[in-house]
Amino acid sequence: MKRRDFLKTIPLGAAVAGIPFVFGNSRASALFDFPMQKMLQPLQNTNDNILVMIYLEGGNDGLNTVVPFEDSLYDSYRPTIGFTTPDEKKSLIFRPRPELGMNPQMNALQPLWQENKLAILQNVGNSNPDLSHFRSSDIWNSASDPKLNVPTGWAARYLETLYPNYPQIAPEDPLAISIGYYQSAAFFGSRGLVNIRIDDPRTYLANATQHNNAVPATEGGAELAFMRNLISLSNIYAARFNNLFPKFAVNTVTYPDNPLAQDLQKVAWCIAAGLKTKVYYVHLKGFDTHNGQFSKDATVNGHAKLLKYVADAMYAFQRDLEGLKVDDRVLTMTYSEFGRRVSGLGDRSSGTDHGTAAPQFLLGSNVAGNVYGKTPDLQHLDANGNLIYEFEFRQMYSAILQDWLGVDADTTAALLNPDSTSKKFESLFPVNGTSITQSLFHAPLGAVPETNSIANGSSFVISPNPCKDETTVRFILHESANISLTLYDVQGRLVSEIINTNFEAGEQKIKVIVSKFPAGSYYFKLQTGNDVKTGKFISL
Amino acid sequence: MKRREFLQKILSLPYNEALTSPTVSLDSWYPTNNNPWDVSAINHLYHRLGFSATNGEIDDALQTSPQTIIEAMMDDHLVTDGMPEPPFGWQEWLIVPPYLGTDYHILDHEGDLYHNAKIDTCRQWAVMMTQPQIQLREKLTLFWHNHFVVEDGKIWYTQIVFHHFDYLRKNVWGNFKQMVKDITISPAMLIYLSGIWSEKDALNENYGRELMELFTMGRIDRYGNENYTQDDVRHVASAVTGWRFKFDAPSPNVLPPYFANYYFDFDTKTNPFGAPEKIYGLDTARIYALTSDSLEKIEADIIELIFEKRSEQIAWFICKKIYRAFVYDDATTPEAEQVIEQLAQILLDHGWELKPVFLTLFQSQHFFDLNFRGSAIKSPYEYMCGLMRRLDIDLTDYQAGDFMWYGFDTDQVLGSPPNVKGWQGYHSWLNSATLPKRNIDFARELIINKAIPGRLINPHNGFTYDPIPFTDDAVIQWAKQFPDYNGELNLFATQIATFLCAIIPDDASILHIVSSSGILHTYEWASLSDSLKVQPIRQMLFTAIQLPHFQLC
Repeated sequence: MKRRDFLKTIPLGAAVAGIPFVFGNSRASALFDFPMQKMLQPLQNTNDNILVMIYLEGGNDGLNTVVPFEDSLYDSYRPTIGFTTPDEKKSLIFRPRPELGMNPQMNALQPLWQENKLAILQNVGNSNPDLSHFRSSDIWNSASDPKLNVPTGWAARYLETLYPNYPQIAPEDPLAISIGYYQSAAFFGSRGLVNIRIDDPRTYLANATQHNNAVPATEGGAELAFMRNLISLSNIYAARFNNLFPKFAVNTVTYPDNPLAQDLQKVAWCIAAGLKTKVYYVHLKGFDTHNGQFSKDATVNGHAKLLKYVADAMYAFQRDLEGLKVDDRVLTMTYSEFGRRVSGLGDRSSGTDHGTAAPQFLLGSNVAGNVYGKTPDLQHLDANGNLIYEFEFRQMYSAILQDWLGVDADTTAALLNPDSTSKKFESLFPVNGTSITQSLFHAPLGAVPETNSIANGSSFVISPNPCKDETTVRFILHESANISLTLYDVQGRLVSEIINTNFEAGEQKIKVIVSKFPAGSYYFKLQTGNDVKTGKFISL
Repeated sequence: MKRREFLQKILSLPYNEALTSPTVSLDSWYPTNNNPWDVSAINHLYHRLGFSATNGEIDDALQTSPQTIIEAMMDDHLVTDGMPEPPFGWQEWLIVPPYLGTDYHILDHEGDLYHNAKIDTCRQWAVMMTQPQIQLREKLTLFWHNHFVVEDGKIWYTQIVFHHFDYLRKNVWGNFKQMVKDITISPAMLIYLSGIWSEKDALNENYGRELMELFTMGRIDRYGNENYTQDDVRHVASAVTGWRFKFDAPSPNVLPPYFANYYFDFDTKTNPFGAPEKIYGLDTARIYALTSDSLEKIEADIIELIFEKRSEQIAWFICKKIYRAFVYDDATTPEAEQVIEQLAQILLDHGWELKPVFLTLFQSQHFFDLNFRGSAIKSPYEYMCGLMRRLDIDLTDYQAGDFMWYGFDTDQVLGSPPNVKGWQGYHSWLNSATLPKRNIDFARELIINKAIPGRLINPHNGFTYDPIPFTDDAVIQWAKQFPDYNGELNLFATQIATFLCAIIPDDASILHIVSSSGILHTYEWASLSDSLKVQPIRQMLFTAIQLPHFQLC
C-alpha cells in the first residue's frame, strides 16, 4: 500500500483555519508516529558485539589487492597494471600464502596478520553477477537472492528484529550510525532508514523544537511527517551525544591523515564513549579504476593510494580499539560491489573494467585470522572474462550475523533470504565450491551482559569455540526455569539430547563432551518455555 | 498591500476538500474554486520551476496566469541569448597542464588556479539561480547536470566543465537524442567516462555501459526485462571508441573533439540489440575525423540504432526521471505511471523534442494538483538560493563563493555529484547531519548573527569572508511587505509563514513563531517602532525557517 493510500483511509480530523488535517490513527501511526523520549528502551536481545562496515565504492580490484603473483596467467592478463616483473613480485613481502602477495601499500596490515587478527575471504561474489555498479551494490546491500529485487537492506532487517517498532520505539542509542555523506541501502528498513548520520559526534546538533501535530492528507503531508520524524529522532540523539561529549575525542593512537582513517577515528570515539550502537558504516570512494589505476604508485591518485588509505586506516583503528580496550567487541569488515575484470585494459588505459568476485577482509581481535578459500582461478573464467565466485556474499553475512551478532540460524536464514520461499538454513546457500566450515571468530558471541538472561530471551555463550573434546554452554538465569539443551548438525538433524531439567537462578554452566561426535559444525538449541535460542560451534 | 488583499491571496488554501487521488490529466490547468490561483499555487510553480518566489513575484503572478508565466520562463531566447561568459581569470586556467591520469595532480600554484576556477564556476551559477527570468533554465541545467553527470574532480580542465554546463544550458529543452549524440563526444564526458582511453585493442566499457544504464534506457524496462546484454555493452563501447579532443584549443569555448581513425575497429561487424551485422559508429566521425581513412566502412550510427531499438524504453526512462524531479519522487503509483506514459508518448510523437514534454507537464492539471504541494524536499541550492530570493537579498558573485562551502556541508557541490548516478535527492538531502547545517550554520548565520560585526573565518579553508548582509534596514523593508507589520502579531506570523512555506504551518507552529519573538504582550506589536521590531522579526523569521515545513517545496 502506498503512503497516500494509508492516508486516504483516515477520516479527516479537525479543521485548522479551514484546512482539514489528519491526526494519526493506528494505521497511519505505523508510518508517521514520532519517537518520544519515554519510548526509548535499552538495546536488548543481543550481545554487545559491534560491526563496522567499510564500503569501498566503485568496485575494488581484488586481483591487485591480494595478488596471485605466482600464476603465470596473472602476468599475461595484466602486463601493464600487474605485479609482473621480478622486482615487482619481490616487492610483495606480505604473503598470507606462499602464492599470494598483498599489495605493498597494505603492508600496514602485516602485524595484524601476524597476530591472527585478519581474515581474508577469497572470491566473494554471487551466482547472478551484474556488471552495473548500482545493481551490484543493491545486491550486496539488500542481501537477497541475487535474482530478486528487494527494497530493504540486510542490516536494516537485522536491526528491525531488535526493534520491531522502530522508530516509534527506539533504542536510547542509535541502532546504526553512518559517518559521512553516503547513505547505504543496507539501512533501508521497512519503515524508513534505521541509521542516523553524523559528520562528527562532537558537533552533533539538535534541531529546533517542533510540534508533532497533524499533517495534511496529501503527498506533501507524507513528506511533512517524514521531516517531523527526522527532527524528533535527531533531537533525541543530539541530547544523548551532548551528554557524552566529554567522552569523545579520546584516542590512543594518532590516525593517519586520510579520509577513511578520519571517519574510523570518529567511530572509535563513539564506541569508546559507550554507545550501544550495533552497526557503524564508513565509506571510501574512487575504486572505479577504468583508467589511471596506478596499482603500484601511492604518490598519485589511484588504486595504490586507496589501498594505502584502507590499510593505514584499518591498522590505526584496530590499534586504537586495543588501546581503548574495546577491541574484543568490534569486528571490521570491508565490502565492494564487485572486483574487476581479470584482463587489464592495456597501456593507454592502465585500468580495468567491471568484474565479479573479489577478496574481502574481516579484522578484529576475535577474528580467527586466516585466508579462507582458494587462490583465484584465472584459468576458468566466465563468458565475460570474469572470476567465478567461490563464497556467496551472504555466507560472509551469515557468519557475521550468527557467529558475531548472535542471531540464531533460522532468523539468519530468513534475514538473508527475504521474499524467497525457502528459508530453512540448511538449504540457504547452494555453495559454489567451499563452505565456511570453521568459525571465523574466537569468541563468537561475546560476553552475555549481566542484565540479560535466557528467561528474557538473551543469547548464551559457548566456549571454547572451536573446541576439542569438550565445551561449555554458559548462561544466566534470573529465576529458576526448565531448560532443554539439544545438539543438531548443520543439516538440521538431531544429534543428541544433552539435558532437559530444572535449573536454579544464577549463572549456569553445562559441560558437553563432544569427542564422541565427528568433527564439524554443530548447533546447540537451548529452549526455555517457548523461547528458543541456537548457537553454532565447531568441534575440531 | 492591504491586509484584506493579502488574506484573499491565501484565502483558499489547499486541502479544503476531501482527499482524492491526483488527477492524471495533462490538460492545461485552469484555477477552480477548490484549487485557485493563490499563493500556494504560485509558490508551487516557483518552487518547482525555479528557486522560490519573491513576494513581488507573487504579487505580479496574481495579475496574470500560470500559462503566461511558464511560457515566459521557457522563451527560446533564454537559451540563445544571455549565456554567461566564462568567469574572470579564464585565460589563466589554461595554464593548468594536461596530466595523463584520471586525477589532476597539480602543484600548489596550479592547484590554486584550478581551485579558484572551480569556485568561480560555482559562484557564477549560484548567482544565476537567484536571478529572475532564467530560473527555469537554471533549474533544468541543474537537472541535466544530474543526468549527464560528470565530476569535475576527474576533469583537470575547469574550462571543460564550464563547457559542459554551457552545452547543457543551451539545450535544456532541446532534442534529447541530439543531446545524447553531442554528450557522447563532449570533452567532459570523454574524460569522465574514460572515452579517451578506449581503443579497439583496449576497449573501455565505462561509457558504453553508463550510456545505456544511466543516460538513456536504464538497466531494466518498466516491466523488469533487461534492456541490454553484456554483449550489447561491448558493441556500443566499440562503436563509440576512437574519440579524443584537442588539449590546446585557442579559445576556451571551443574544445573540439576529434575522431582518431586508428583507434577504431573498422573490420569487426557487430549486431547490438539483435540488429543486422554492421560496422556501427557515430555519424559525427565524418565531420571530426583526423583523416578520411576507412570512414566509408562505418555503416550505421549507434545512437540512432539505440533510439530506434529501444525507443519506448528510453522515452519511459527519461520521462520518469523528469516526473520524479519535477512532480513527485514516488513514481510507482498508478497515477504517476499513467502520467509518465502520456509524457513518453509526447516525447516519441515529437521526435525526442523535450520542450513539448516540459511545457505540457508544467502547465498541466496533474502538476498543479493539490496533493503535490510541498511534496518535494529542497536541495541545498534550492534552499540557499531560495532563501536569498525569499528575503529579497541580492546575492553577489563575491558572497556566492561561500555557497560552495555550505553546499559542501550539506552534500551538494555543483560540478561534483557523488558518483555517476548523480545526487540521490529527495529524502537523502536531509538527515541528522545536514539539517542542522542548513538551519544553524546557514540560516542562523544569515538571519540572527548579522549583528556580529567583523569578518568570519571559513573553517574549511581558513579564509576570512564577509557574511551575506541582511541589514536591519533590509529586514524592516522586507517585513513591511506583509500587511500586519503594523497590525496583529499572530497575523503577521501567519503571513510570513504562509509566504515562506509550501505547506501552511498549523496553529501550534504559528504560536511557536509568535512566542519566539520574545514579545510578551502581543498587543504592543502594532505600536513598536521599526528599530524595536527588528530583533523580534529576526527571531520569528528564523523560527519559521526552522519549521519542517520550510524544507519542503
